[in-house]
Amino acid sequence: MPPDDPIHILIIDDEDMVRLNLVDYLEDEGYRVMAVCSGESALALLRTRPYDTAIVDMRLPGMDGNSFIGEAHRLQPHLRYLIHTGSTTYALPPELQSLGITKDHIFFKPIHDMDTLVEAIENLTKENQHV
Amino acid sequence: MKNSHLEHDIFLLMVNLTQVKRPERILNIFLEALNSLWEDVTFRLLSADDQAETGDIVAIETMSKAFGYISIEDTTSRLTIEEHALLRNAIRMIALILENRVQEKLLSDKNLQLETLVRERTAELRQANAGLKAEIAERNKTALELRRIRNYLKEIINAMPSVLIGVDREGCVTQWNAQTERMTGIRADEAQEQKVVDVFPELQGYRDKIVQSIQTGALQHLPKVSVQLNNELHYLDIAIYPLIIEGIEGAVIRIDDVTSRIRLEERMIQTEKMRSLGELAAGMAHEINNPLGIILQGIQNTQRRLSASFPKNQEIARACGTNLQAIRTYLEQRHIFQYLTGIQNAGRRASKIVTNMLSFSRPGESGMSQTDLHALLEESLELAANDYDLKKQYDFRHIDIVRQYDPSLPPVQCIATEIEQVILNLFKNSTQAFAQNQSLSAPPQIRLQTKREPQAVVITVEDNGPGMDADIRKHIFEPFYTTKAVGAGTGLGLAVSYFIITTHHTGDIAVESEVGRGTRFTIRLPLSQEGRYAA
Repeated sequence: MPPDDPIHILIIDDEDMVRLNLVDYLEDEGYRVMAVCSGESALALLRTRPYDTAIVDMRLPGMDGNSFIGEAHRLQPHLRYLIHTGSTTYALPPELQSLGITKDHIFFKPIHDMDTLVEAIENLTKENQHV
Repeated sequence: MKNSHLEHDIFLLMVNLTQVKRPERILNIFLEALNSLWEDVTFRLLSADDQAETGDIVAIETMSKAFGYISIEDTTSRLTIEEHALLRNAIRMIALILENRVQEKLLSDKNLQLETLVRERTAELRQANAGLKAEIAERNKTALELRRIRNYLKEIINAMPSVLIGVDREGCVTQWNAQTERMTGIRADEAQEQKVVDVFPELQGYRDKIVQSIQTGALQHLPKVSVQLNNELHYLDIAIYPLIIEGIEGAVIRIDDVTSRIRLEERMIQTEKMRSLGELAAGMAHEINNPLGIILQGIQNTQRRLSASFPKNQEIARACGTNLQAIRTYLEQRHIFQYLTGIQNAGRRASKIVTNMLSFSRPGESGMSQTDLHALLEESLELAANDYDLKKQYDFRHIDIVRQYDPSLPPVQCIATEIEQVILNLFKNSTQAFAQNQSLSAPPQIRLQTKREPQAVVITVEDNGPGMDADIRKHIFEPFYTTKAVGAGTGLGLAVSYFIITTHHTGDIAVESEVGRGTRFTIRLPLSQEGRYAA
């Protein structure tokens, strides 16, 4: 259950249907969700208001997921990340590991049950509350 | 008493000086002798140009070359008749002696010549003899060298690992090297001059090739001839080389046993095939994951937004002029929920297949740990005994399990869950084979063996089930290859197992099986994964 202060989630994925499914599910769960199709659009949004969690696809048009996370961290150091990737051989580069991202934060497509995503978001929120 | 008619006596002496080289010297000697004998008489040697006077002794030089005349003329009348006669006799005698001496000289000259000739001939003969001796020594040396070279060649030919058989134009054996003796059990001396197809019966089918090679002078090559040797299948590489020295004199047959090379080649082809399939599968898997996600998430959202437990659903239904329950009833009656569940299950199944196919490529991360294999095997047995799907076909607990565990087996670095998956898969395969052939004579049995090797462990899973024929055995590891009925399994189990063992663990998995003789899987796992290439 999300706290009174709603969690703001930013979704970045270049496929419409992936975005639609995630947005609807997470909104049904009570989160505030924005979804964009590129790293550049996401950075623009990050300049307008704070977000709590970003769900990032690694393969994007323009700048890729890794570069986006690097830039986004500069804009919002408290932003937490979940990686949602279709790449079967994805491995965390050191610069992302140093941001505290671990393999528990990686979701390989296809996600069978989006509830697992919700669980991860809740965990990240709890960690942030301790900080 | 003086006789005046003897005043002008001229004596002509003929001495044959033709063989003499320097007649004037002989004449001078003669003159000296004469002058010393008669003091009152002067003997002179005259040449042809001189004027002879009475009493002169004339030796006509030119004639003396041919005949040698000495004339004696009495210049004084002081000689008596008797003295004249004496002189005449003396001169005659001297001439005779001279002639003898000349003859002697000639003879001795001749002897000398003969001796010289003999000496020369002897020297020649000696030389010839020496020459002959040298030649014989040379010949002996050459013969020795020849023998040495022959032996050396024989050593080389016998050291060859190939079978080398020389045959003449009629196909009779002229050479039979050591390797041939070993392969046939027939000694070289026994094989000599026999028809080669008689002493090497495996060549009987290729007699015409041998003939062809000898007749046409062309190399005949048979790279993969299968024969039965000692009750085993062997592959031979046979080449027939015509021997052309002065015209075609026969042939050399070279045979190599290439069985292990061919088996290795087949193994490499298999590995390569699996690698290509693996790469193809992994590439496809990557692309399929995105649409699969959309399917599964779409279904999840659909089911949720049709669920009665969400107030928001009820709200929006009402706002649309209907109610959620009515919608749900309609959907249920029209089987929509069943379709949705069906799509979801299908999507999950597809996802599982894709996940399995992904294991064909390198693992993204290692979950390696030191594992007690015996414990792992026991766990796999437990899983098999409790496997729901398996129970439906055949109760694993009916199978007699025979354990032959190596007590010295060390822990092995591996991904335990994956190895368990492989072992479980092998158990399932055995079980299903038993299920399909319930009429087997012996009670079903699975033998589990572990063995330690210096750098690896070997796990053997063997059943006494129906076994497989060569055709099935060749394809058994291929993805989607299955002998089961449609829908009874995807045929991915052994393919995944293959990649888990070979790609993830740099090990080996192989199958041996004969129809009616059961099936044996042999897995070899290296003890440690250190030192393998980085992913």
